[in-house]
Amino acid sequence: MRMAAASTGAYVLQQALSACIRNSEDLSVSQIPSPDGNITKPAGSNITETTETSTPSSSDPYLVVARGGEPEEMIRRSILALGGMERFVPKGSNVVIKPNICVAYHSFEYAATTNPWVVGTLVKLAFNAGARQVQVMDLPFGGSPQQAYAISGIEEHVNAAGGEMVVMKEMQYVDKEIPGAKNLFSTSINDLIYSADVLINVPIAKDHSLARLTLGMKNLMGAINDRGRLHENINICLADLNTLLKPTLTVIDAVRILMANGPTGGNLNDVKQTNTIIASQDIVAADSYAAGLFGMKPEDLGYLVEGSTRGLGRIDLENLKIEEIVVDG
Amino acid sequence: MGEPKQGIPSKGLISPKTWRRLRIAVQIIVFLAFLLIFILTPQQKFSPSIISLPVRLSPLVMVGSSIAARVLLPGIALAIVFLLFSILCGRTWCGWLCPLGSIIEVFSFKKSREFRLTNGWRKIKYVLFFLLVSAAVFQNLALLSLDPITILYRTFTISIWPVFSLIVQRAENLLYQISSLRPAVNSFDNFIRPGLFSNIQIFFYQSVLIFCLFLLVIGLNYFARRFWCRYICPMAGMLGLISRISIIKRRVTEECISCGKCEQVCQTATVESINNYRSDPAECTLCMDCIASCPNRSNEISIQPLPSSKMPYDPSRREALISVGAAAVGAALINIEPEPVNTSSFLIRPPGVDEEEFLNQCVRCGECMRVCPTNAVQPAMFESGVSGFWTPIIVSRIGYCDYSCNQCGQICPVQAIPPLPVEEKRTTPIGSAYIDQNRCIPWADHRDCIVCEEMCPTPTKAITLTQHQSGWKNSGVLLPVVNRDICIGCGICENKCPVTGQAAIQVHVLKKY
Repeated sequence: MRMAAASTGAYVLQQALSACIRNSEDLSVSQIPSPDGNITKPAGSNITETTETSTPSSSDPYLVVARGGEPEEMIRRSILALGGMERFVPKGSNVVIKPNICVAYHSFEYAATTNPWVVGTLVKLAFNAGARQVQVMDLPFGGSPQQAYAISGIEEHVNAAGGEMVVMKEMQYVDKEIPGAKNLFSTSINDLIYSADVLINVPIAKDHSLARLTLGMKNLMGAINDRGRLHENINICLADLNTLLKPTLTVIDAVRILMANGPTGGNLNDVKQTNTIIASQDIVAADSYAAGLFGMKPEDLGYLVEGSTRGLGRIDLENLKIEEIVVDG
Repeated sequence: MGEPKQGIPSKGLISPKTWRRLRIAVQIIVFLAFLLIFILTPQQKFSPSIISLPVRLSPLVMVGSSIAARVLLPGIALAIVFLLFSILCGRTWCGWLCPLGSIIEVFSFKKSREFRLTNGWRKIKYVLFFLLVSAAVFQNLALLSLDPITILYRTFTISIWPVFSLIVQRAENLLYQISSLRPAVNSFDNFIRPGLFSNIQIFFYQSVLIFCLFLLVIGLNYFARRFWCRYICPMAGMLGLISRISIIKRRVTEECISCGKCEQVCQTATVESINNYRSDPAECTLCMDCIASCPNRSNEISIQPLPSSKMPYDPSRREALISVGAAAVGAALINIEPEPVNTSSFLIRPPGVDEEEFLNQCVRCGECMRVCPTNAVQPAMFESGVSGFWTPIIVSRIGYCDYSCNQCGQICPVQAIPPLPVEEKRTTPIGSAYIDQNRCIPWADHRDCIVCEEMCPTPTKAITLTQHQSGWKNSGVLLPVVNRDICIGCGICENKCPVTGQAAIQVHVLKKY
């Protein structure tokens, strides 16, 4: 708690500083939510603002980190701290939750797939906020989706919360151009995810050889089916993909994180129990914070740097209003 | 029964026409049961002993495989029951149960010309059966590919079902374009996959060839009704031999008016006027057509403990011996193939298989190909030499061996693929991956690609990445390297390798040091 208070204190100072810096710079990028949660929009910008579901209050933090408790409690507290699920999920909306269910090999303890309680709680919260339907899906690369959904434990928790596990099918993919892309000019994306009213991105923080870490930005690769193409220039391509698909909310499951042999896992010695949940509307900021759990800086991850220069989000954590919650386990 | 009735034809509890209807009903039920079990096979809801029932019910498969493997297979009891059943009532198996026989009967051409083939043709099935058994003694089971059950199961798995699957998928894709139908198409798809059809569009090598054999079996009906069953089927040969001593058989009574109706309807043309409308129990399938067509009930199926009289086309001892000799020579010829020619480096077998034992056991039924969720198991051509055709091999470029799946071993009706628990299967190597550095993207083109490493499912990755130091235009590129002590040859790397065409990492057979 003391740490949290200290960081909040430091934050106030930084906020004032960064506000000055930002005002003096001509931001070529629009729609970066500022640390106080409001959206800064450069004067004269002709880019239309996406509709917010409820006006965020200036007291809402930019990023919330919950630590120490049961996954369900950590999720509840962090979403509440962000302003409540009602802020992201309008009544009657169609919500898609995209966890990381990459293989059908191991249970959640192996940290290859998102924690089932995390996903289940998000389903509950979305329904409580008035969602019409909540669909949960991913496209595993190893094993069948049905098997992966079952082994990960996610199916059980989603069904118990009233949500629906959806098997992604080839016919659901649509080809989309990515305007302004640098490398991935078009992709084949799952329409259920692409056209969802609300997309909640729930990655698990894991080791990955090429991207170094797979977090929120990389988790969106599960929405497309021409993934092989991304590897050649992964940092640029991930940023390209993230300009096409923007999740409403990113919740990083760092209850258990996979330190090596990712993304498939299978060795409990590679798993580190960090009991942390990171939530933010800003996918880049959430990923930046999660990098710290692996002893990395946001600058170490090429796609975060690329994402921040493209205006997808912020890597300057020191300038953000971060609320840290310690949940008693 | 047994003694000729005078005047009034014998009246059993069931009339002759009802017997015939009963036979057809049994055929339909058995065929539907076969189809149902076939369709439900990948569901994993039923025990493998039920799912593999169709193949285990084939006496020929069980006997052949048991001889070659020198063990009494656990499922053989049922097959022995059928053999004893043949001693009791002849080739009832062919006429009442065999699902391939039922299809052949349905597709019999009404006006088939009945080319008057000499009865000598009937020898073929006996010769094939002798060849099969002798080859089995020499541990070669290639001829079991002619077993009626394996023909049917294999054709359904490899040729017919993938076509159905494709048609359904195309229809779904088409209907999905209409946005109002999307929810319906989605729920329909959820209903049929993975229960009825695989998640992925399945494809098998040799589907055309295997379908051609099936077409041939049916098409031969053009020349004579039940041509296959009459002249060729080795199962018919086996059951025919036993049926010569069968107890219940057809006979013609003295009331016969020689109207010739029974000769017209007889499916296997064993009722012949030149033979006073008598029939050979080794040829008669007890289909009851003759009985149902008889105007005065002058032929009957009854208990007659005496063996049947010898027929001119019965296999002679000399022919049997020649068959044994031919099989010996054939098996020897196959075995003298030098090893490097004999085996392909891509001869990847399902997990836990020992190649030599496997060839003694595999009956080529295709059950493993049916259950494989990734479509990895494919019928071999000559990867295992000429005698190994249609045995299962894993073609990783088509499908990888799923780290969490052990279905092929569970289903195998003759346990040619051992039923390994998942944990054991995960540590059982089936091959090893080799990188082609001349085509691998990072090795050859100095560009990033780590797909094989990313996909590698072993807890400690069998594919690791090293950094090339100097002299490269892009020296930071990570290069995949296979650790052969860890690699299990699952082939997901080969399957997902983004290089077009043949993968730049391929699974080859394990080195024998």
